[in-house]
Amino acid sequence: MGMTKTEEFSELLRTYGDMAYRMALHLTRGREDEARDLVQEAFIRIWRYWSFQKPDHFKSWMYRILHNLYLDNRRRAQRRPTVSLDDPAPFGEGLTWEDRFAEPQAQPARVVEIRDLQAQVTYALQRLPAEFRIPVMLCDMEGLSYDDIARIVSCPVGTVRSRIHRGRLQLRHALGHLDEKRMGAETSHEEEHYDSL
Amino acid sequence: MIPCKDIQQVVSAYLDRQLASGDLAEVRLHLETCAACRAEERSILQLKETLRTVSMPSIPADLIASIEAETIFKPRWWEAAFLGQRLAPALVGLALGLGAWFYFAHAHHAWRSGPVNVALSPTVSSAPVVAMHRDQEPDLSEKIH
Repeated sequence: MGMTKTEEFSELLRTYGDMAYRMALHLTRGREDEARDLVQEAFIRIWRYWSFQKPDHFKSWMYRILHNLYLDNRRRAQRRPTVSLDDPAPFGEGLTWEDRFAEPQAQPARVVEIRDLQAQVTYALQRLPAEFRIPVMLCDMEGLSYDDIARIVSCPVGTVRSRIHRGRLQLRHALGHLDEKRMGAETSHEEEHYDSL
Repeated sequence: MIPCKDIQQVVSAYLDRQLASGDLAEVRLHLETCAACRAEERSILQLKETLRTVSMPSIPADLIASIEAETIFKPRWWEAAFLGQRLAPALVGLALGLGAWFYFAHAHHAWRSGPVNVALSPTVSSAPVVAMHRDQEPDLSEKIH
């Protein structure tokens, strides 16, 4: 006997909730309150459409909804009155709006010291512009193909390819101060990967 | 031979296995002979592996509960309207029924309980009041004279 709509939705929420929350955190640069709102809004929309539309690839569809909602919210936020660059920005750690728009190579002196590698990588990723951050995250952290990413962000595959490459270069530059030894320790199986291609 | 700058533009796609098989073979051939491009490939690969190992938090349990409260546990608009449509006439019917019951029950009780004594003001009529039971015909013969 088939599942009811309620059962199906409940199972989807539990299966894909973590992925949705991760995507929302990356979209909102780690701002938990905004990420929560984004996830809730996305799943409410999914629930409404679930009777009429059951896509073949739920994960891509879900990511696309999150991405579009994020863009809608950003457009609405851009219509709000401007703020001073010296005002504290809503992403904590004593950072201002000026810090947000700083180029990766011009690290502000007020950046709080971040100790471990993962935190540094997350911080650097969050500072990437969204058009680079999202494709890199979807490719390297969620394992999606370029075709899936192109559907989610509504761009040609060639654009996705270019953005992923440029995003990685920017990220590498931002992380350039890290000890090469620490980075190298993460990839002891580099030879295996080369041989497998 | 393909220039190194062209190879380095596609090294990300090469590592992601997103190149056509022909291009894949050309890049692999170049990497076998070019130390600079191999270093670039190694650097991008290190970054990919680092990103892959970054741990992210799970969705909070209270967020799941909040989503369920707004979706599967929330009546849909047509359910709420249907419920309202079914309840409203039922309540109206109930009110009318109770009202009718009280009215007729009172009236029946009054009819069965006995004579009706109506006290009239002397200014209204000087005719004497005839008290009688409902099943009696009034005897007006005496009164006409």
